[in-house]
Amino acid sequence: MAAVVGEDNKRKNTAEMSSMDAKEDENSISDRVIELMNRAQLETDAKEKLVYLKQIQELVIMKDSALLDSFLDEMLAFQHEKSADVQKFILGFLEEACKKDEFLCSKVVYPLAYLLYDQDNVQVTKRAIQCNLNLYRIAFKFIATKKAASDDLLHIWEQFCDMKTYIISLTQHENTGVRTSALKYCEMIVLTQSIKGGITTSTKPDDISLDMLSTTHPIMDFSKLKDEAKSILTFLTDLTLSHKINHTNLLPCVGSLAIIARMRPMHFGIIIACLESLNANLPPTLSKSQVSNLRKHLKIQFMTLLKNPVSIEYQSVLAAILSDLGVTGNEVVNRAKLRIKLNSLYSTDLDSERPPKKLRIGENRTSDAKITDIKIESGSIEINRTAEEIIQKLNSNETVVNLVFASIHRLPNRMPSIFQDCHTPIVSAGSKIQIAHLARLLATQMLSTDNSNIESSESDMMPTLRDVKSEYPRSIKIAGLKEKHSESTRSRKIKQFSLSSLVNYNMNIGEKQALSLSAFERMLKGEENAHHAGMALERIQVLVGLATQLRGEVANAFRNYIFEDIRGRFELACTWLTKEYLLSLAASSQSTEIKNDNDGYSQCLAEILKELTDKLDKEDKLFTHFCLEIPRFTSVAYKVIEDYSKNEGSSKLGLSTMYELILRRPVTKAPLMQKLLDLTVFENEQRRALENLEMVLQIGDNQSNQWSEDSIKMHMSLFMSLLPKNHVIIHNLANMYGKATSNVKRVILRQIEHPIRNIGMSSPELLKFFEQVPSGTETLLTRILYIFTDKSMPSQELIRKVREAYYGKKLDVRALIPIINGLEKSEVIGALPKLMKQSAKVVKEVITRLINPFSDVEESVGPRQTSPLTPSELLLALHQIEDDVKSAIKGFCLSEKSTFTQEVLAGVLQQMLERTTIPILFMRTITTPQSYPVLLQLPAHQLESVFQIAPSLQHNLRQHINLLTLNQRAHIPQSLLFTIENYVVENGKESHDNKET
Amino acid sequence: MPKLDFAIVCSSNQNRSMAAHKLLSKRGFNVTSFGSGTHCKLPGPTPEEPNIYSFDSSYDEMYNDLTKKDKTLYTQNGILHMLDRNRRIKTKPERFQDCTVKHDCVISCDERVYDQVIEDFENRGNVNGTPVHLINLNIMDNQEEATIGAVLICELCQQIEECEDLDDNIENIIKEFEDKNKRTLYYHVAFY
Repeated sequence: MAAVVGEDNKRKNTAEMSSMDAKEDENSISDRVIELMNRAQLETDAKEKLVYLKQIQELVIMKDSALLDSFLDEMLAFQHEKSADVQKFILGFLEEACKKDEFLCSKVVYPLAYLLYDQDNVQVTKRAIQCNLNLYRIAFKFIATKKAASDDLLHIWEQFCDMKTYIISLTQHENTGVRTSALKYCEMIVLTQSIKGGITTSTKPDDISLDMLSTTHPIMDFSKLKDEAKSILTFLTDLTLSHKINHTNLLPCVGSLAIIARMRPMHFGIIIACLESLNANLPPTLSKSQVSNLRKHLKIQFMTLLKNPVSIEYQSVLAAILSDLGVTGNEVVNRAKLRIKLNSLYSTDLDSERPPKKLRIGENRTSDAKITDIKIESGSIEINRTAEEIIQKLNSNETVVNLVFASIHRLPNRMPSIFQDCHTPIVSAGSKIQIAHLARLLATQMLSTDNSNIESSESDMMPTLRDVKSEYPRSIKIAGLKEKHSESTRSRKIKQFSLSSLVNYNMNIGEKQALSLSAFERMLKGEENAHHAGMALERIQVLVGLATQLRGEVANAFRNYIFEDIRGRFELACTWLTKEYLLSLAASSQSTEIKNDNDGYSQCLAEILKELTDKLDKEDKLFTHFCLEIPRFTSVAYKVIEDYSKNEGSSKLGLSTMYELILRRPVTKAPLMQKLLDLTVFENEQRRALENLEMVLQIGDNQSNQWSEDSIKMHMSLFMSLLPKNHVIIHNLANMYGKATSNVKRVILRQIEHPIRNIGMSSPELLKFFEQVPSGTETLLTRILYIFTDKSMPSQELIRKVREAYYGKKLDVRALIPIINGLEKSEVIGALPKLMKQSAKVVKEVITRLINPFSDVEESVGPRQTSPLTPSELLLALHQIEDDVKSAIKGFCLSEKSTFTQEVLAGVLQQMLERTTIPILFMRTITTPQSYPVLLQLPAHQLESVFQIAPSLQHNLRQHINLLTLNQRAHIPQSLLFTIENYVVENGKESHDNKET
Repeated sequence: MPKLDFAIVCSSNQNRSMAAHKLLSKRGFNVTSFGSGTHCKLPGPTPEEPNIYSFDSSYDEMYNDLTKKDKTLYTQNGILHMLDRNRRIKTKPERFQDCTVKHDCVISCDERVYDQVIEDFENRGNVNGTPVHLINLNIMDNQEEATIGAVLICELCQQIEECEDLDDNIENIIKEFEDKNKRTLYYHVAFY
């Protein structure tokens, strides 16, 4: 009853207090704290003191944190209390205070250090470590966010760093609890001083990490902290595997590693390797129940890790370990599904090694962490290697039987209950995966035995495995038991073929290579045999397959073989190249990296091209064929083709290859076109372009039906526009012109006008061309001359050159026509007979030019050209030609009445008459009807002699007079009329002349 | 030396944990009990039809509900008796995952419950670094085994409570317990 009353009173009191509290203002709280403080200080009983202190904490932290600052020092004074509970309470108070206000870090650091260092009570030490664990993070965050350094901050940080070193040393403390707390503290350091990385499954909002620290922080050294975390992690993994750690510490240690792996994916790989190793090689000091307990925990941790998105890389390892730990495949799959869900939530960015901000230049990395990293890696490599060797051994039934016999007598007579509890039947016993896993377990045990240098007295137990590793693991424990189970299923299987199990001789690499090379060479020689056996195709595939896989010497041998008879083995080369291409495709589809030019394919292609360029004739079309077969063009391939096009001798083939490629392989269009254009513009520019042109023209020869005038024009346009810029290439044009078809010539002649005008007749190269006059270019030259003389007078230089060419018998007389007005009189007269022999058109041209320079060009500028011959001189000259030029005289000269006036004719006739011998053609001129009036002006005597020469004239003249009017007749002297009427020819020559008329 | 805080966890905070809770409080331990499942499950008329309650329902409500449903059945199978015991200890079941109070030692009665407890500690995020000892003792979920289990748990807690430094001695305590009772325990150190 009394108790009930007491209860009631209590309730009443608290109710009163709460109502009072509500009314209380700050001052009254402060008063209350002061009162409690006084009581606490006076109180001698630790328990009672603690009650007061707890009340104060409640008031200053929860109720009114403004009071915290004012009473902090008083509270901190209690650290010197003897009571462990009070000290622990103070540590808790520090923690709470700093959580409330991180500025207090600076004040609490000294009491914290005091309580940590000067301690003989392990409970307080543990509490101090825990307090440190929390305060370190708060201080880390507090200092990391400060931009400027101050002595105060530096001091706090140094204090925390000192405490860190001390606490890490406490992992070797004699008390398990202290060690546990210290290990947990290590976990916190690793977490805090590592970068978060892309994905963590951490849902904690207050996850403090290195990410919040700038690399250029004035107090905290980013890289140093990072390296420290690495070395502490290595310390943890080493400790986990050391076998020196007791079970109670091992559990939180494993837990810590799993947490680090989950929260800091950058460490995932190292930790998985460590835990895998631990699982494979449990500490021998553990009791049976502890083993099952540890396995249980590893299972839990691995299952949790499997949920982590990062684990996707390690899925196979995790699955193997989990199946070893008795987890069914279904459970693994379910966990993996969970992870996939998580994966879709977090973006996968595993590049966690990269620091968030730029690294400080000249940083001092602690090499410690690196070395241990390498150690772990090399360890796992060694495990892999050993495991592989063991797999081979395990594939032999004999070895397995020996193993079972060797270990069977070590098994207890009755199955221990602990084994029954923890044993899980192996679902995949005898499968390749299980054997591989078993081998890994054995390898780990062997190597760790190796490392700890424990010489086993039972090393002769496994004679068959001895040559792999001489030491036999002293504890086969679980692995050994499993062996028995897996054995029963495996022995039923057919023995797998394994070369290494049959061949005991260990060859060195050199020998292996030499043997494989000679085997390959035998295959190369076996072409005929393969052909007879109908295996030619298979042989090619095998050869190509080997060459692509082994490369090196084998590839060289293969290439040499191909080039022994490149024509016959051209297909082989193409097949090889295609195979390499397919491999490179497969490789590039696996990795996202862009195609580089250093893969096997590119090398193969480059080497084949090199051989082709070295061994083939420079004009061998096989090169083009091969280029057309190239599956993917590399820069080297382009270079080779380009070089081909540049080199003297092979340029034709190179260019035609380019041409073919551009037409037939659209992929190459852009780069090769560019190259072709480069060739036309840069070095050797004109020549290259010309050769291209030449090629086009030659192709035009072969496939003239495909080359229309337009297409020829199109191909020539580049050259034509180039020509005025560089006159040298006129020679190339000339060379080519000589060989071209008439069709092409015609187009050229038509196209040439504009560039030739631009070149001008003073161009030395052009003059040189006139000097040389390559065969077949006469028409071209003439055309050029016409172009020049069309509108202006030819230069003396040009005339000289043409003249020289003419006299050098290089040029036809026709070439003189355009420059005829520039020639000397004697030259013209000398050339006239030949000119007159040409077609009527040409003759007309000559006459026209002589009579009337630039008759058709009225606006012609420059000095007025005068003909070397006057009309009368021309006529005279014409008459002196012994051949038949009558049509010329008649048709052209005499029709030009404006030039050949009566006076001119009379003068000519006079001159002719004055000569000693009248030219044969004399009468040709005068017998024309136009000459009658002239005749009528002759004196009667002369007329008689005319009649004597040409009697028919008399009749004609008579008729002419009869047709005249009376008035006109009156002008004719009577004597003359008489002569015409009455003169009788005495001579008998007239018959001949009659015919002429 | 202040008394340790014990938490006994089973699946539904009905049978095994409550049996131990009753015994431990009777022996003067600081003890609380929890369930780790998502719901409170009680046997129904057939194994396929269990009675499912949320952790918010009180034992009293469950008692009344089942009395209404089939008083004879639930009296015969002892469910009503169990609920009656439970409502005398506390008003309603508690879920371990919702508990914010720190314990020194958590004892689970089932491997699955143990897994859930560990997972819960992992999910909590280990902010504080205060260690907590987790122990699992497999107890079958029936009245007899629960009673035996309660005795065993009590014995274990006695050992734990008596030792000077739990961290240093837990390994031996576990080992001795296992050897003596021929039981296999799971043990772990987790952190708040």
